[in-house]
Amino acid sequence: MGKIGTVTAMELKKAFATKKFLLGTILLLTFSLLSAVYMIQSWAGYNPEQLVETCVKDGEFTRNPNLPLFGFYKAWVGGDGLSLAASLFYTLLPVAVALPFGWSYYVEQKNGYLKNIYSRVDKKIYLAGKTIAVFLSGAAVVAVCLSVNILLVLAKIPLISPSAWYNLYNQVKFGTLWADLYYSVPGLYVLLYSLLTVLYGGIFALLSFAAGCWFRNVFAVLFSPFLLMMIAGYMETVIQGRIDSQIPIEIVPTQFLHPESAHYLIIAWAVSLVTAVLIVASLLTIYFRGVRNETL
Amino acid sequence: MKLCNHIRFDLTYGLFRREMWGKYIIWLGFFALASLDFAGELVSIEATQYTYGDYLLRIFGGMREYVPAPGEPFEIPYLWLINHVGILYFTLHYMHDDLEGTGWQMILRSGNRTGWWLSKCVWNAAVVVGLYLIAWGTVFLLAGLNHAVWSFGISPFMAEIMAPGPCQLISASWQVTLEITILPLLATLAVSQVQMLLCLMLRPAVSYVVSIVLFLSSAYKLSPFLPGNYAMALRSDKIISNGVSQMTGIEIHLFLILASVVLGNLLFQKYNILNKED
Amino acid sequence: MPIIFDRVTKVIGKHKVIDQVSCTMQTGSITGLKGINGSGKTMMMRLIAGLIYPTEGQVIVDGKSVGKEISFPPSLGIMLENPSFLNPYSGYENLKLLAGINHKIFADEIDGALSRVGLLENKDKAYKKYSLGMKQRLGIAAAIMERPAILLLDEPTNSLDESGVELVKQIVQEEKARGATVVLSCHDASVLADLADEIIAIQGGKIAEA
Repeated sequence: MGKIGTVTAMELKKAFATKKFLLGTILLLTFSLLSAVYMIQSWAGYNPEQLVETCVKDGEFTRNPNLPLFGFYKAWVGGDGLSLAASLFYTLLPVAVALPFGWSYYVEQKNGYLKNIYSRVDKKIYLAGKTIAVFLSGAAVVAVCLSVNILLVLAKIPLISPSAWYNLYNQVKFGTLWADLYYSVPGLYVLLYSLLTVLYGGIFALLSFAAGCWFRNVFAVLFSPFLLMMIAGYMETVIQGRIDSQIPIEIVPTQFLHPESAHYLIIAWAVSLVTAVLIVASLLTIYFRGVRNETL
Repeated sequence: MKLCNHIRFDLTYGLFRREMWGKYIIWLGFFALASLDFAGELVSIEATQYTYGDYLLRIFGGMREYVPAPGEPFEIPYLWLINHVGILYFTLHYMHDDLEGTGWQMILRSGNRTGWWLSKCVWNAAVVVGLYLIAWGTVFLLAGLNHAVWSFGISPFMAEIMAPGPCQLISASWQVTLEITILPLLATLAVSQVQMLLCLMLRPAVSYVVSIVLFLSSAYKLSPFLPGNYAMALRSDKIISNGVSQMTGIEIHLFLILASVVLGNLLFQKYNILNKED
Repeated sequence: MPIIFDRVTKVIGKHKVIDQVSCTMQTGSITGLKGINGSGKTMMMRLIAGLIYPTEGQVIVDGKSVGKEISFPPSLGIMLENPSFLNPYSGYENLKLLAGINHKIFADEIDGALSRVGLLENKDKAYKKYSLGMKQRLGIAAAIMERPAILLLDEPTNSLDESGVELVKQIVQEEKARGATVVLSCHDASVLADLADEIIAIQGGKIAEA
């Protein structure tokens, strides 16, 4: 397995077998559950039997039941653009994923634990193992919470494919990220979006790790990804208001991960670019500040 | 006398130590950007005679009531939210850092816990007020440079953009001034004080998350029970019929501040002063 | 100022960190606390200082129950493990800040305390530039500068070289001669043996032997 395997296994154990992993998961799970409950309660008034009863007379529809508006694909947390819980889920996602292990480098550096490690294993190997553990712990928090939300909503709300005729009410606009899948293979759309969100769980955790290489305050380390998203959200409105673009593009991760509430269009290349920039920036920071710097 | 010592220390070291200056500059820069952004919008609209009140309403006014409906997703009011959660972040960890640093030595020497706690409350209030003064000062300066009219009233054009329909924004000027200046400050101060109280019971990070949830919930839901609503002029009963009352807002915030100070003092009397390692 | 532990128990969270401890520390004596890390020595000092209060029983200082009749002992000097001061201030400024609370002492006495711990030459150096040993000495200076009636020293010889350890021993004996009640914890058994009039061994929050 080699040293990298040993170190990674050690870091993964530190990341997952702690109360902080539980705390981060509970924080995000609270909102994913609340979102599910809200949507299930909303759906309760719109089940197909009731709709058919209220919309059908003498074998003919007297009004449009709007069934495609209220299926699973509008009710999972990524499709829920209406509830407070869904907004809190995505807004606090950067905090929840940083809680388990994003702060660990900062603390280990501060209390001198790193000196014990670096006397036994190469810095690069240790930091590589820690990077993997931080990423996976953040991703796991999101994976658990999304899975619970999806399973709960799936249990209660039927899979009704979104209809392109209702594009006015769907925030997934034509030409945006995976929009063609949304209207053709919506299950794959949900899967891909979930994977993207899980990926960002890892990325936000890495951002926290990178912040730990810079800041000398644990709250700055924990909350800098969240504050960065807040500032990015505001800056986006400033920039979009300045450029005379016909197609304003969404570049804030906590917005484009939540397609139902994005202000602007979610375009594949913009998402890829932002993702790449965040990953590279985090890894470079970890390398230059963590590996190259002297440990005092 | 010993309370004065605590307060003097917290106001000098707590407000003016080196790391605070960077935060003040960032805060000033943020509000400069917000002011310039608004000024830039005005130029593009080619409207005339904008007032200082217009700037304050734009930056501190919050958002109109959100009514969930298909096709109408909730949009986070970033500018308004950053103002509040930014200040709450600045006030988050000073108390704990001090308690684990030299604070416990100062408590022992002064012989009472109340003085230390009250001093921290004073520091908290001073930081909130100070950051608002920096924000207002920056906004006023940039508004002045952009030829704003010296008035805290809202111009009719601005009232039409922000709150279409009949409203009292342009007529009740001292009340509008209260809405766009004092009430947001009181709201931040109240939640900041509650956050300090929560820090005695929970970890500071959890307290901050609670504060964020409180403000975001206030933005989402128009309710007299969510204190952030009183910090939004656009949710006032001067503008919308089901809006929140100004006087109620003042009373609630003052109550929250007082209750947090008193409860916090009671809790702190029995608080275990330990190191992180203990 | 005598200190009495009367069947003191302290529970923090789910852990009983002090369990039915009863003992007396006499005025003008040096009481040594001996035990492994986590045995409860520091907790006993925090109980005497009033930083935490007993869950059961009472800690009585000079006839008054700490936490009930008094919040803190009236005249106390304390140095806990890993003393912490303000980074941007110098050693002298840190002590001046603390001394300014009660105004019992002024510049001369502060200099005197710094001189006793061997820090007078470095008094104007910023605290963040102090070595570990210097930080430890500053902690001791802060504890002794106001000539307290009770002196609590938690691992005062940590990070100190041989001359530093001898200095601490000398200071402790001087404080005893002055009439202070000194409570001292130390991993170095020889230091306790040299200094302490009585040694209390703590194990798992309980007294192992008197």
